[in-house]
Amino acid sequence: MKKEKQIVQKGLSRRTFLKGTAGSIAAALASSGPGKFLTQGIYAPALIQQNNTVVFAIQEFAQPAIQSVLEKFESDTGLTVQLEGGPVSGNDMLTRYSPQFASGTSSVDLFSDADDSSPTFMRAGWVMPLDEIIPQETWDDFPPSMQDHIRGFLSIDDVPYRIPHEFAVGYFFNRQDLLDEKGLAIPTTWEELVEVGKEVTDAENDIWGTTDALIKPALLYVYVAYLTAQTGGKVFDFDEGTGEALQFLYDMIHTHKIFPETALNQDYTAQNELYMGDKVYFMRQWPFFQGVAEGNAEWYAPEKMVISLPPAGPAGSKSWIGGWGFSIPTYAPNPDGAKALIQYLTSPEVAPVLAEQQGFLLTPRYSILDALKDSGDELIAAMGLYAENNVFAPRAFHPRVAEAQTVVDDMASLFLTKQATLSEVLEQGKELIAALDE
Amino acid sequence: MTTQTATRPQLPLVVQTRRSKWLGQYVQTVLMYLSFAIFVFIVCAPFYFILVSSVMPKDELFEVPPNYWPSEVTFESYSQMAEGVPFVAYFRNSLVFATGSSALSVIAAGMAAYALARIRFPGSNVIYIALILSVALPQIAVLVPMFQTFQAARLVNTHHGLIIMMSSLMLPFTIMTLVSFIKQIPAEIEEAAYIDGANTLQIILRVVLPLIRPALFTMFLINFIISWNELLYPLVFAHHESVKTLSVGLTELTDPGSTYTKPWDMMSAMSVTMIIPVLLIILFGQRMIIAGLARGAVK
Repeated sequence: MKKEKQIVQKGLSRRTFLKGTAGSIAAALASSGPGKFLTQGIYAPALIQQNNTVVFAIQEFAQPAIQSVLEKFESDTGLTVQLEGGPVSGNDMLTRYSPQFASGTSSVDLFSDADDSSPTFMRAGWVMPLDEIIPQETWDDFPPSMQDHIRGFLSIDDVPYRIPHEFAVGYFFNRQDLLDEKGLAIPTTWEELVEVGKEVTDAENDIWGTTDALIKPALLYVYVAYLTAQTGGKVFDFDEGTGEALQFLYDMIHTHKIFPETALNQDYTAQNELYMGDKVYFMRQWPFFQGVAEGNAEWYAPEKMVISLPPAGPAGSKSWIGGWGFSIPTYAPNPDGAKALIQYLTSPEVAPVLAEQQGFLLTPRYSILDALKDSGDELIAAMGLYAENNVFAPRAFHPRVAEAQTVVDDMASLFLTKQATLSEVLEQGKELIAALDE
Repeated sequence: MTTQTATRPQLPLVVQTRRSKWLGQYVQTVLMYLSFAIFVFIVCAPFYFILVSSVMPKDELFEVPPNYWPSEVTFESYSQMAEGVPFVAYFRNSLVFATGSSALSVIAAGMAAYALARIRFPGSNVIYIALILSVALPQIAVLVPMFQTFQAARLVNTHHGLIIMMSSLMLPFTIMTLVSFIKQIPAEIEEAAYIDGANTLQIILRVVLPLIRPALFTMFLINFIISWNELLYPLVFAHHESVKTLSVGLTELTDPGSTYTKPWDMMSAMSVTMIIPVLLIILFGQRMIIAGLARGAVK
């Protein structure tokens, strides 16, 4: 054994090994060229792009609309905008950008940010305050209900860090044709919702009064928060209103049986398919569904689908608002370019042009509502209807919103699957939220 | 009066034992095949469902109860998927990323493993233990410092940056596996070559390398599959279309104009296209993998 080691050692002595290693390193250094390694390598300071390019990350499907207005911007400013595909969910936003921002760098100058990721970026100081970057004229273009949302969810201490470009509100979509066939009216209150729901539900044939997407993560939260807005509760407080909302949802599923229990495993795509499969009479859904329905040319007819006010709960007809918005990373390589671009894209002149082309760039603003009022667009009309009736409720804010939403998801799921009582989930929910605040 | 009672003739004890033994073996074989069948079903069912979902008309995808057999076969989801993301570019990037990472990791690990297995130098054990410990580091813990380093070195959004990063992450496990492999090769073979006049390089290239080829090939394939499926690092380190991989493309697929829904039909289509290269590689390299794994298992 000893002999074996000696022979092997003889094959490559320590001296030879060290000489070889040193030689390889020297060769690598020499081949990198004089000075090149030091200025471009790992010893160089954090690199700043001193160029005229503005890197803008936004979802691929929204890029054609953005592209259509860039020519003027580029010719006016001399800047070049480079579009980059952005993540399509808040979780992916956090995964992609947190390492960059935490290390004091950014690969983008401007990006479209989600509700689920934005509070984290804001609290960490990873995005710039926009109060002085966006002109007052642009802020004034938002109606009061949106101002509340901006101050409530997109700001810290009244300083906004994100400006909305997409508007998500839970609209109440009714199957007018099916209701007419049965001689029933659109429900306007929770009581009517249950009454009409009982009238139309035929569980054996998979026909339901209403449904939603309640799969975890996040989607169950969306619906519980929607119902809680209608009770006047605060969903992250697990207060009486939250309890009332949870109990109403439980009753729709288990007591009145007008809402399929399978919705707990359903996402928005499945929900939409159920609705367009003529299996559901009315449902809450985000605005994008209008586009999905219109895209289903064989099925869609304008008289078939009517958006009405959400059935009023104890606190009235309410629906919380959210959506995507633009932010500038604190470490944007080209901050001046980013500021110029965000001012341009959100200006009252350009915003309507973008909104007309792409629903993802449509949000309630006077300029947009004015420009599109005669367009015959159902969503514009619904936006006006909801604004007139003061339906919009601000989205519930929590500095650790993604984790707080998970708490609501988990607690609601325990209650709806009969694994815990209402008082147990309310108590445990309060404790878990308190733990997040510590 | 006498009565006769009909009794069954008693079988000799040897025949009885033989029959019960046969029965036991029969039951054992049936149970074994049944277990195999259940195992195959559990493993293959998700693949089957992905494949069926990719060729099923969209409205059948969400039927309750689920539809396990499409009424008609359509490749619409494949064409929509190819329109939704730059599929060819992402596929090429994945191929470059996975091949480059696995090749670099195996080459570097092969050399490091030989040094650790055969050459005694001060601190060799410390290096080996440090390598083993580095496997235990959670991915998320190294993300921020790695990004900082890679950004400073201008390696973000580059193929070579992604390859360096991924291969460095796979290196410890590859080295560990190859060290145990090389240690199994009798040193006498290398001694014989040395006595015959071969130098170290010749010993490595002509003696050791052919002997560990199955292990190198197995590790190449395992690392290829790991890199091919990797999401976290390409998501963080690759933002441009020119370097994004298929796994990142999968997260970017959306229904037109919406970030609220998952286009399961398109995602299934992309998953199928992601599975096929890996399946082909495994099918063609099956014998080599089994040889490599079996040899690594014997002490």
